[in-house]
Amino acid sequence: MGVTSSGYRRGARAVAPLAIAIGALGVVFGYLARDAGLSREAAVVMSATTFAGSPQFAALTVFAAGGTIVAAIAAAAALATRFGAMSATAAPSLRGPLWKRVLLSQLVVDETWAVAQSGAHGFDRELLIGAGLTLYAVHVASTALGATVGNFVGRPETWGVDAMSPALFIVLTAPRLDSHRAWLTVTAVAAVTLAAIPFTAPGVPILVGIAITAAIAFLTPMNARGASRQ
Amino acid sequence: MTRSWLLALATGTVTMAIKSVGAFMPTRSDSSAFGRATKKLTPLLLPGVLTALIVVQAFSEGHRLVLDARAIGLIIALLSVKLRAPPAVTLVCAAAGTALARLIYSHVTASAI
Repeated sequence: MGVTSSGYRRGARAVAPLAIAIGALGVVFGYLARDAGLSREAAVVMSATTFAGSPQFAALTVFAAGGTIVAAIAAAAALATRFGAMSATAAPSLRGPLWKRVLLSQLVVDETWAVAQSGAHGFDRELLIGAGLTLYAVHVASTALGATVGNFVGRPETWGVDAMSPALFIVLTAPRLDSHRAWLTVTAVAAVTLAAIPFTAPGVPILVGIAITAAIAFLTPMNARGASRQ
Repeated sequence: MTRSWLLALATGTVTMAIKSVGAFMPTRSDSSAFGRATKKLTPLLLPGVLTALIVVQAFSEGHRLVLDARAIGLIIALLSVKLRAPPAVTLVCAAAGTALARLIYSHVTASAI
């Protein structure tokens, strides 16, 4: 890969259709935050610092229901834990001084990690930056819009936008299903994650899925095709 | 500081701290044990993690396992990937299919009452 801006641009392009879904959720979050008693500024700061939909909605839901701040943060942390695992796998690609690596790691959320990890040579920093800055701008701006104008998108589910992230993940996963180990991984992860949903707190099934992936990676031998991929 | 500002800043700080994990790990991957581990994990990481995300986003609502219109979107996405549609087309079709399924369902249940 060259030194052109193409990596950044490809990252931005990969998440562009998701702007609709992320924007709708941002508007709803901004509106619900005001409804729960947050000022417009607090709502925007929460989106700008957290930059992750599910932890924000979780914290806000607990807060709005009269829960303690500690309970709200615990709910958010449970859902954010997976970003720690994702960020750890990106570590070899986060270059530069510590402050820069900390800033870069803030761009890691489900969709941006997925796009960055789909790079030809493993995790790609430029893809992360392109995808991350695009979704960050949409997330913060739509929160401000929802907190100012109100909820003009209604229930985002009406527009089916909740089906967009899974669709992107299918697009990104399909080309990687090129070995028995990859098939074994997706089958085992799907089964165990599904089974974990009714029995664990929200956020935990994803961590279980990551753990199963790591177990298969370290406990099963790499075959010739799996080894030649990366 | 008001409770709502505390909520906003604490949620942000905790999430930022969690996301920073990778920034405090070794950056060089060549010979270290960490590098070898990364090499083993890399080919499986994307399919594994994304499968977990797909399952949770498509079939759960909090604690509950649910089968609803999102499954239609998932099937449409699988089909359009199989047919090699451009990613943007796949995403929009999945959303449109899910929206349509919800619309039809709400009409059917409304007319039943």
